[in-house]
Amino acid sequence: MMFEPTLFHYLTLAAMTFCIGVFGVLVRRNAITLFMCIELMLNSVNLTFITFSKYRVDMDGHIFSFFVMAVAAAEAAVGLAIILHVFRHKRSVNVDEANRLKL
Amino acid sequence: MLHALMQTGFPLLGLLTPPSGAEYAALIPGAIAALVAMLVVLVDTFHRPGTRRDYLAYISAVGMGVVVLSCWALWDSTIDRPVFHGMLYLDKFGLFFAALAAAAGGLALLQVPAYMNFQRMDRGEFYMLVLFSVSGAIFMANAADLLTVFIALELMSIPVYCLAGYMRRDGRGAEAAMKYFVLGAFSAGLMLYGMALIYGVTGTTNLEYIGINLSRVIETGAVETGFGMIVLGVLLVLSGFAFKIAAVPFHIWTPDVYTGSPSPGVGFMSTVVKAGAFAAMLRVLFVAFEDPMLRGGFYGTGWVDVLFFMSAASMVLGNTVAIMQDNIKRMLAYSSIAHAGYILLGIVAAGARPEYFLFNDAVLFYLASYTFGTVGAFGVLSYLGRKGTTVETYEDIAGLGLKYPFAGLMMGVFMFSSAGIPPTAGFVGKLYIFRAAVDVGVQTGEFAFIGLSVLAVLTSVAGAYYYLRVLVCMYMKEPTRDDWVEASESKSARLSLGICAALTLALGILPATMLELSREGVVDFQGVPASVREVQREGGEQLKQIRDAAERSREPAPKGEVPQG
Repeated sequence: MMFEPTLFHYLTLAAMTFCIGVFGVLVRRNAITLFMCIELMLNSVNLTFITFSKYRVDMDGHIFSFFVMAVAAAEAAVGLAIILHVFRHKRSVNVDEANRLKL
Repeated sequence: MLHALMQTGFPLLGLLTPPSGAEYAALIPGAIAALVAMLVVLVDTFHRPGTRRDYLAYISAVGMGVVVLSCWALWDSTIDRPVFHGMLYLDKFGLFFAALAAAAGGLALLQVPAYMNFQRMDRGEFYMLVLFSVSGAIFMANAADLLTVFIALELMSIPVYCLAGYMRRDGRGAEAAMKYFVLGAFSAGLMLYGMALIYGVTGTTNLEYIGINLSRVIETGAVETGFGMIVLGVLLVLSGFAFKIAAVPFHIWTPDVYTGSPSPGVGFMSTVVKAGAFAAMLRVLFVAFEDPMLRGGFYGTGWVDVLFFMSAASMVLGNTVAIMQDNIKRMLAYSSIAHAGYILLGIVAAGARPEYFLFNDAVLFYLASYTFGTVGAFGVLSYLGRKGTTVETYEDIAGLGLKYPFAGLMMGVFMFSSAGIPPTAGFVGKLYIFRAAVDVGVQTGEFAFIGLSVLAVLTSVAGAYYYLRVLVCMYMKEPTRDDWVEASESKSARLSLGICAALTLALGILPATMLELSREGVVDFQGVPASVREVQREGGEQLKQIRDAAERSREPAPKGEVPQG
């Protein structure tokens, strides 16, 4: 019998990807890696939206995921500029070294 | 199982009809803000090098004034259904926040020339960033769909990330921007996943249909399979909002970002971003998550209980940690966390039962009073300075109250308002929030509400210590370094401080107009379920009468008459 992926499989994949993203943001120390993990979270959101959209035969989720992609691109433009800016000052993108402002 | 969940269809939103002419009015305030932003960029390209950019501040302020006027003009032509196929609302609630965001943005921008001339960072981009962010905040307050909420949230936030790193020669600015950006994008990701789950359960992103479908799902007992998704979705969406309003435990970024960002920008981001997030939060909570199951409070555990603990934690942590700060910007950052706690207290009271919805007017009033006081306080910090340095610590402002009487007087008004001392706006705001909480506590017999308001009063007493310490430093200490700090000559900054102080005092002495506006704002809050609409229809007048009677009873009895009883 052929393996037929169902709603459950897609959602589990999306949830796992999301958790990997969250975990990455919490433990990694390189700003670029943090940023990649955030993108991973956004992409798992897209996968969730598209899965539900396909399952419900409804276009809203597809539209939402397009907007998420567009906003993620805008965020990437600003985010990478900010990381570059930090690198100019610190010669490093390690977030542990960004400690001039103390809690 | 999950199929039963998915059967909860919803009617199509008349997708084939184009929006009617009147519906375009919903775009006016936000569109004007965006157009002013573009105009500022355009005008700045013709800037003559070597001259000052004060005129950009005036252009932006006039543009923001036009936004406020447009809200005033639209005030009576609201529409009682969502427009643009369920994407936006045009109601008094949204217009109230649009006017507030525009006013705060304009006042903050008038302070920019003073600060930037001290810092030698006079550039045109600052105005554009703030104006686009105002546009985002306005659309966020009018959002009727999760999609609009998300896009407006990002339109509001992305310029503010840039704003945080604006002082590019200062390494602290870069650090603040990175912290704000990483945590902001992270919280946006969490919120989006919550939205995806809510969409999965309800099959729609429209707030009203989410409300209807969630109730149906919960009623039909499909809860067993879908409830986990619903709870997770609600919590994730809430956490996204909690990050923007800087409520404990999502407050970690606040002190660092506020310290590293330019002062007029902090005044903006601590008020407009917070107001926009609170407006969208009220929409989502009272329109989409209005089901008693999700609301909780007395029915079980729901968002009322979550916000209850967030409110208590924010008030306690914000006020106690603020006492230990030596940097005024950090102190104000922690105090803004505390203010978020007070505002959440109002939402908790209003959310306890559907019939208390109208208590939200205290939230609107408090946000207005907080906005002008905070923009003003950061304005004083922008107004004082010296070439290349900023005024941040208590030491910096020592003795300045007598040296620069205007700055001292203004700071006095704003600190009194933040501390909640009459006759300022902050006092009336706190009074109405605490009264709403006590009223709800008494009426429901749920003493947790009274306990929380007692906690709120106690923490605000603690708050008075660090606000008044600013004034003690300004008036009773000797300057530590002679001629270190000077006051700016910028007229626009003085104008902005004057307007902020006038509004703060006006809201404190004659709060009736603003109270009436906030009452109309909650009475004309669209999208709420039928039970609340009933309350809005009847309660609007009722609430007004109760408040009027209270006002009358406070007036002294006429002479010659002995009060009876």
